[in-house]
Amino acid sequence: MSLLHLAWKYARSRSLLAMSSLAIALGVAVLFTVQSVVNGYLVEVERTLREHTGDVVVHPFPKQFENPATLDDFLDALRPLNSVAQFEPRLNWFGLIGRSGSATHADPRSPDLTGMLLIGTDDIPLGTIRLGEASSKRLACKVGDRLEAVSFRTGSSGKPTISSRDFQAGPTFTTGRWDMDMDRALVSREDLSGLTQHSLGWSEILLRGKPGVEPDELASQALEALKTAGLTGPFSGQVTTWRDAGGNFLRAVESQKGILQTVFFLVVLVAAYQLIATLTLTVSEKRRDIGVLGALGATPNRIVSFFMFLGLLVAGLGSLFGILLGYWLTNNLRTVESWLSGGEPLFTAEVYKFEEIPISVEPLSVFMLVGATLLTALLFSFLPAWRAARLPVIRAIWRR
Amino acid sequence: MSEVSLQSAAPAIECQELCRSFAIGPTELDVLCGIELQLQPGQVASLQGASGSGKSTLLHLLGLLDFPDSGSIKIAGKPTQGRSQRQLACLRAEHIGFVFQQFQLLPELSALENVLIPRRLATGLSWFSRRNEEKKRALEVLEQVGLSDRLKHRPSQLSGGEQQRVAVARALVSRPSLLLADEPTGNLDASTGEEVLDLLLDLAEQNNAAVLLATHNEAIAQRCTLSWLLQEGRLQVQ
Repeated sequence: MSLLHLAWKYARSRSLLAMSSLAIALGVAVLFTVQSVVNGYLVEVERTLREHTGDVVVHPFPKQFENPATLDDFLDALRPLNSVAQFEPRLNWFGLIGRSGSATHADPRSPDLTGMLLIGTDDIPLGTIRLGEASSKRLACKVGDRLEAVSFRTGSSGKPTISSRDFQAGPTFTTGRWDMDMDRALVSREDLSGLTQHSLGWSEILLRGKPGVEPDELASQALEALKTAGLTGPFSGQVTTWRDAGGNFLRAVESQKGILQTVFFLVVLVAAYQLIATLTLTVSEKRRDIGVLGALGATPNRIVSFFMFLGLLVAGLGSLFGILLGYWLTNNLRTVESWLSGGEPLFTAEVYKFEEIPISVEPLSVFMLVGATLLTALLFSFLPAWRAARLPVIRAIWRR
Repeated sequence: MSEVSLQSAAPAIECQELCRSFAIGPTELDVLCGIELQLQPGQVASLQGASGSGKSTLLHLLGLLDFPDSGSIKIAGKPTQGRSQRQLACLRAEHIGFVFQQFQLLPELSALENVLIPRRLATGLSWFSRRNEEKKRALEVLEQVGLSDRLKHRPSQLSGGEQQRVAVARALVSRPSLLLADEPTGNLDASTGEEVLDLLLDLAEQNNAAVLLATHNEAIAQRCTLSWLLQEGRLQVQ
């Protein structure tokens, strides 16, 4: 028998305390779910960004358009880096894609045309274009269909002129991100270079680091290697990491995450605040017991710790149920979404970017969530606990 | 004023010039005035007086639940004046057992748990290392009061007599040097009251505890070695 045991008995026998626990559980569950979804979103954004941009991107510098160093010069300078697992030269250019024969030249505003980022890589066979799954569906395109890419090239006069080229549709690709699948098309770098008459034939080199290599470390090694080879330009953005590439977007998502956490923690805070009322009521109902404990030798500190433990117990049970409920919610989001919306999807890929709602449970976030809830409960339990400890024993027992 | 004085080196309780008054509206009511008493371990005293004569007030003062306006109290030779609430609570836990007329058991707890509570309060965190020892002691006292088959019963599942026996066990589990009983049989029928009183006095004797019984019952008073009467705020030997 201990005071903890008595607190447990109180918690079990008072439905109000159970209601407080439930309120905390709901708050924690919602916050857990929001955290997991936003974390999952960030993790997926990171993964797709890294897949698209590699760990580090090396750009040529403007002077090279006049007196260019070749791609081989850059690759020769970078190859000695042991931390790089893969080099991937690319040429990125903008273009319009439409079905062949859709009069793309005659009317660039034709609805048959879709503006895309054309990515020229060395992995795509000549004459082939690969569309993202989403854009392929939109264009009702099948493998083997003929597509036309329209872009522009800068002639010797310096004026841009329209250029176009036919491609055969290859298998579609999917990155997991709806927006990337919609606005990107992969072609051969050689084809794209021919279409645009690009002076360099490349616009970036993606470096993928070996496992465990930090992008920042890899970027500084690459920059050093370029400096040594005399291939650095006067501007600072020649070597960037995937974080730089997604900088503003990632920061926006992280800021959104912070705002959501604050807002939903207010829900937990309100639920925990209810503890003050519940414990005050319990103190009022249990005056006689408090007096008896005092008469039997309970010190004021022990009375305080008893009621604070009671608050902690209520919040602890609430947190535990909240985490379990949140875990269930995150694993059944589509079902919950269906309940909430009557069958219509709430998280559409057009808005949310992903076809599936990514989930990532971060143990540290969960730990901090539970810790913050318990700390709040402790703070809110103090006032009723302190009032209980100040009850004069005689008045408590005999209500004099 | 009557003075009760017994020669002993360490009385279970001793008080001198104890006064307590209450403000009732604009008037000050002197409930106790110049009380002096002393009880040695093993002594049993009854405290009689009309309703409102101050019996309970005196028990509260002696039990360190209330503060006198003046005078001093010593528990087991230890002065109580100027002590903090925490120190007074520790003195209560260590030296004083209470038996209330209304039993005052905690309704959520079983008989065994109710008896264990004072030990838990007295020993603090060290209780965890001594819990087997404490439980053994509680079982022993509950057996002495004849409730070894009611250990897991809650107060609501016990009769009045059984509840008071649990209260007696709770009061004596810590082997206090002083037992204060406020009308311990007041809520029981005559035969049950008699049984409970027998138990209380037997166990107090076994534990060498001094007992102060507040009662209206002349028969109970006659069973005590000392008999005091509170009248007009003063204590008289009968």
